[in-house]
Amino acid sequence: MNGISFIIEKNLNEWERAKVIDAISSEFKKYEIFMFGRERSKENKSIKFLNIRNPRKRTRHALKLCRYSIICIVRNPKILFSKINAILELLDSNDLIIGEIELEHHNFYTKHLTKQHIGFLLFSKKTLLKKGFLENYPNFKNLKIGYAEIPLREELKIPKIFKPLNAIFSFLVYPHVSEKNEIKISIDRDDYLYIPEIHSAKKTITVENLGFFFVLGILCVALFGGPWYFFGINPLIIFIGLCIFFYLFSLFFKLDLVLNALNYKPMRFSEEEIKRIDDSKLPTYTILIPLYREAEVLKQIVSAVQNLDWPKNKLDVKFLLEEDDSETINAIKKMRLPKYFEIIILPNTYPKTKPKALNVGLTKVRGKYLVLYDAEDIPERDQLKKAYLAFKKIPEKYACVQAKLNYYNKDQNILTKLFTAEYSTWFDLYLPGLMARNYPIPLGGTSNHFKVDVIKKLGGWDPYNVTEDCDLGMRIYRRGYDTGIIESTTWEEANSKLYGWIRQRSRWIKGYIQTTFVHLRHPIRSLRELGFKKFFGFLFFVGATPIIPVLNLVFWILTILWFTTKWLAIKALFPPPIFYPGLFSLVVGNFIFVYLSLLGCVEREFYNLVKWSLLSPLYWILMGIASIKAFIQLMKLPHFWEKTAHGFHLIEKKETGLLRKIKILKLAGLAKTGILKLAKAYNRLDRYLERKIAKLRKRFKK
Amino acid sequence: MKKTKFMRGLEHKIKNLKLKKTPRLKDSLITKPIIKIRNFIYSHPDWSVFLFTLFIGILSANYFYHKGLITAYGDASSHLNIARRVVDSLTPGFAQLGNSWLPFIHVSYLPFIWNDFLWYTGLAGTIPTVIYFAIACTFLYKLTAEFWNDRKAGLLAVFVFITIPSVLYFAVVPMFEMPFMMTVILSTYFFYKYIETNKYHFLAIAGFFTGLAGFTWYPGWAMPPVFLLILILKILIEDKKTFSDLIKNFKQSLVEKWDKVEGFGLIYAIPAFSGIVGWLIWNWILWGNPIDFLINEWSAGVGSTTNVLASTSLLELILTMGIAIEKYFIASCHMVGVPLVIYSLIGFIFLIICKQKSTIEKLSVIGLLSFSAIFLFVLIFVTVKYIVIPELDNGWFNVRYALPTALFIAVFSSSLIVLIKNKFKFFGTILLCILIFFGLTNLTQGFLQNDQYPLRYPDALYYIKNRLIECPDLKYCNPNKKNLAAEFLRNNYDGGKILLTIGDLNYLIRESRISFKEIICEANKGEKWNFYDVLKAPWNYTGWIIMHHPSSKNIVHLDYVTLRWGNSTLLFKFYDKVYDDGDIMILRRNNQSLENLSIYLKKGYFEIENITYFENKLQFRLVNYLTVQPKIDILLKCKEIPEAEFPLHIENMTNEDSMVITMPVVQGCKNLNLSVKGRWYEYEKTINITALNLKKLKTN
Repeated sequence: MNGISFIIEKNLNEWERAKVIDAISSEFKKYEIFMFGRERSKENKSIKFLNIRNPRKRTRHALKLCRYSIICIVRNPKILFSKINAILELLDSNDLIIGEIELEHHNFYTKHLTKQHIGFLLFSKKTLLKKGFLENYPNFKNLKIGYAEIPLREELKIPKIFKPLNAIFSFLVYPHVSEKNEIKISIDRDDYLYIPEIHSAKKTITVENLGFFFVLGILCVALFGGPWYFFGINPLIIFIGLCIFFYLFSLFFKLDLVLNALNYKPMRFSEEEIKRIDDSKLPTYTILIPLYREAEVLKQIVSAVQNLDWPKNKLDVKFLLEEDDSETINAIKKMRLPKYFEIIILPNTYPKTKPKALNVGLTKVRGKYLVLYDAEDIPERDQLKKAYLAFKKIPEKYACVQAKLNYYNKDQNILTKLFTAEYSTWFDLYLPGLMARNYPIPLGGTSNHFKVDVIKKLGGWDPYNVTEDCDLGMRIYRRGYDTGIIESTTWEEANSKLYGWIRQRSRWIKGYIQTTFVHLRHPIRSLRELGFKKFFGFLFFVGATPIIPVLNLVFWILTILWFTTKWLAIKALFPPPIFYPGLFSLVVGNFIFVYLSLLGCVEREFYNLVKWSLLSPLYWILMGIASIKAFIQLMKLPHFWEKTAHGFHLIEKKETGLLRKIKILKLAGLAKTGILKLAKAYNRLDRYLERKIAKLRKRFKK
Repeated sequence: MKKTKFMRGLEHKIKNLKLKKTPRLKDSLITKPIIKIRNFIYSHPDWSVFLFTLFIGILSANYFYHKGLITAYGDASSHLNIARRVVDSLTPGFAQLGNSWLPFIHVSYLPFIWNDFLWYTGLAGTIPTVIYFAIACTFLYKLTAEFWNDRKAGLLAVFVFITIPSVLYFAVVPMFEMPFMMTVILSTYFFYKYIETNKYHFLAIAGFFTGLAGFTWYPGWAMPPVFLLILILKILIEDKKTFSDLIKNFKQSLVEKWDKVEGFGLIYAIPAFSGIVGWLIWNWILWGNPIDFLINEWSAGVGSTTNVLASTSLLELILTMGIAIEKYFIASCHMVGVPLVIYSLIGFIFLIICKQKSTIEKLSVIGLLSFSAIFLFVLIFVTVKYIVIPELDNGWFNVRYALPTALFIAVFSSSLIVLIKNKFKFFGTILLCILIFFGLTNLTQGFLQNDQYPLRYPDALYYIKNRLIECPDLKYCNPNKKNLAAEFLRNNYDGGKILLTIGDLNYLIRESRISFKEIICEANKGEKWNFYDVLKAPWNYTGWIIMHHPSSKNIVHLDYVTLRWGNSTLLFKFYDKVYDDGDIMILRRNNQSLENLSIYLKKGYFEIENITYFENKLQFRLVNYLTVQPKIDILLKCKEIPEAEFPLHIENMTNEDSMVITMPVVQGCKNLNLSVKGRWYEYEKTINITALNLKKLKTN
């Protein structure tokens, strides 16, 4: 057998690998395909799988099977194909072996392959000759393509130390009573909660949470009380030290994500690939659009949906409207929309949240795939087809693909600029980083494309959770599914009003806290289901998100206090082993976070926002305030959905010409009156002081 | 079928393969490791260069260590001590890094400096410096190999670089030349990668290393503007074919691409300028002035330079510029060798005329590597005596500052390989052979010419040969005496705090191996141990004092102890002089010090300083020590005319209080008797007017 073995580059993710296999198999149809690794690809069922993890052994085995071997590290198959074809032609007449033994050589390979160097061939031949593979396997006739896959995941083995914990805190591990019933998507319940209550934020703190906090409390007492009792160390110092190391850890965690994101490319599809799709074979695609008092942006979303590149007879668009929102209902009715638009009036029951609306919509879904958009969204035209292609290419276990989100009103004011910079960093650096590092991805609020059967298996959204997207994202991973990111953007409206922004952000943070509480009800089970790495990723990306802005605020206030008052009590809290890491966090840490937001803007090609990103620290102060509000609201109104108002960008657009001039004149008038008042006040003060001085002079004279 | 370029290349390789048929190496104990090494070199060329140059660095370190030359430069000791004080001091902490030098190297010594052996041998600085050398070589290889798309060019550049003896010396010396060169080459490499690939993260990395260069050596501060300029040009020229296109539509393209220029500019500039800004903030926080490092006594070359910009004549300015160019060129020749400079010039010309590379690619390498030369040139121009060379100044001073030229000499010399590959095969091969010959002779001569001293060119030779330290007036001082002082301390020091001014005495502490926990120097500004508090009354704190002799000519920097107590008699009431070589004095607190202290604390102590006489007036400074004197009576008597008396009463003089007093003297008086009576203490002094210097009196 002659053979070509492809070793896929180590840092390729599953969908990229699937794409490479696809490309290879379509390019070399006449050859059999041989594959190393566990079965992952649904498409290539004819492939024989061999599970050899050791790269050296795997390569040897590949060479045993193949007389003539080309083992290449593949990132971009297109670049390779021309060369492989050329080599194959030569194989007929020349006795040549081209090979590469070590996986680690891939830098060397990619560099030289792209630059059309072939010096590596000779080296590899010598290596192979030395190994003596030729002598052992002389009579292979058919050409085979070997594909060696690198297994990425290993099942988590919980250390024995944790086993006694299982016995003591069994409720942290074993299923809850509410989980006995199977998940059903039905309209039995008023609140449309399909998932077991233990997985819902209906109760913010349950007995399970209390149990977990109890364990955590004991640990804290030991951690803070121990050094205090034995060495007299102030527990506050330990607390500050822990905070600083937590901050540093989160800094390195995010840096690691960004470094990984730089080499990671979300699923991209060329225009040709999209054109090649046969419209007649496309399934029905459901679009869920929850609306509440958003008549202003109705036209925008309707035209955005109509603009989508998907056969209209296979579209199932559902507007989810509240019963009391007559304004929007009437506006939709007036528009006389085509048949594929459907209005669903939601029952007037508690809770009145977006996830409840989605759950209601889920009962009436007709499509194979489902996507949800917000009222102000403008998805890219080919987004549905890209999502469809992604679902086709990636392995079966991917339940969801997330499109990137960004803002169309980025230049409206400073807040929208900073918000856009943050979103760019989040969606263009952090999320690809999470994907590359194989951490769970908290879904963005909209443009989540689901497989309908899977979302139904998962039980839809949690109507009590105010960040139902993040919660669902975690549940996807806990149930063994995956989420991918596609290179397509949905444009949204950034919140341009400060108070509105704080309301929205506090809701998000509240939701993150709810999600953290929900998934820590069975922490050991979560750990088992997610695996250590993903569990850790969840804790740092979801659990830590509400805490960091608050810590920022606290430490900045402490710093300002120190510089202004030189209060020795503050100095006492920062002994050198804590002071230096703290200083590092303050200077380098903040610098890096600001810089990352700059990089996010450049990645998104929002070059004009780069300079505005420098104001990120101001934005973080707002985040701190929002976090505090979230913590307070979590105690008072855990399920209250603070609705984000939309359509300000449209109002702003109207304010052209005369209106703006009037506004400026008004402002000028205000300023004028202000100055006059100040001048009057100054005059009064002046007279008062003169009188006083005169009196004093008289006294002195006496 | 038409064969592609790739196929043709492949066929060619195969033919060569068949012709060669090299005998296969049998698996044996000897061949196995050889094959492994060979495979490793082919598959990991970067790592191979790194490991090889690391090995060379270690060899070099071994050589210079056994010659005892690692800390030959006075500055090397200072760098080691600065790092050491961070972990070992009465007031430890990062504030000890001070503001005389940029802190990168000192911080990088920290992982090793805590070890006593590594500290006093200087190896704590050598270890990181050797690693910097290996990194610099690796990225020099990567830059040239990727720039010319040829590994051989990279190898030639590394060969040229490591055959320069000065480079090998500075690869082991704990000074900032090698780390600076590393940051320069890293910045250049990543900037070039950005130019080549357009990936912004390379730009960010380049910015980071530029920032690091700004934290390493002041010439690094010239990097960001040069980079920025090239970056802007690169962005503006992106869709233009030539520079002339850009010039024609400059305004339009600037408007079109302003956002991108701004965005990428910030991505680069923020980390790149962080070195400069960080340093200014550091100075501001710790010394209350962001430019303190420029105006303090330690600022480089301030004492030894003259400002040419103050001169008004244009001709003078042009002449000075000519001298600056000449000086820098000669200094480079001293550091690198004349043949290499000539070769690099040939390579440079070839690089300019070659058409393989775009102008912006060429600029990215030329501009970035030569910026330090530009900076130094400007520095020499502004401060003429920044570098002193025997040809022009009849001496040696800081010729080592021209060492970074070695980098671009290596890069430009490597272009010869491409010359061979192209048209001038014969000519190029000859040049290459000569270059290799020169490289090897350079190296061998460097190490063999002087049987004892390995270096041919740098001023280190001068230092090493004569064991000299830098003096601003170009009179070289012999520090061997100082070594005697260190030896004395090593043998006789038996505990107790030591007061000294660290500036000129760094080597003394390192060589005497006394822990900095025993030293009180100007770097100690803590609440408990404050140098300036201790200096007021050292007898209360320190068992030892080390200072320069007041008449010593070797005081380069300010010696606060000498300045304060050099001419005082009070100090010697408490301390015995145990060592004095005319340059260094070592004082030790005597047994009677406590007794004396209790006496003088009760009685008080006067000192008369700076006695001057002019036009029948006597002026002197009266200093009161140790106690409060509620009333002081001063009486000036003339010995020749007994009735001529002049009394004076002063009230309330506190400790350390001083007063300039002017008293009239009757004409004809030659010998005066000055008596100062405190409440408990009396002081008398006879003054011979003729022995005094006649100076115009200061107004009181």
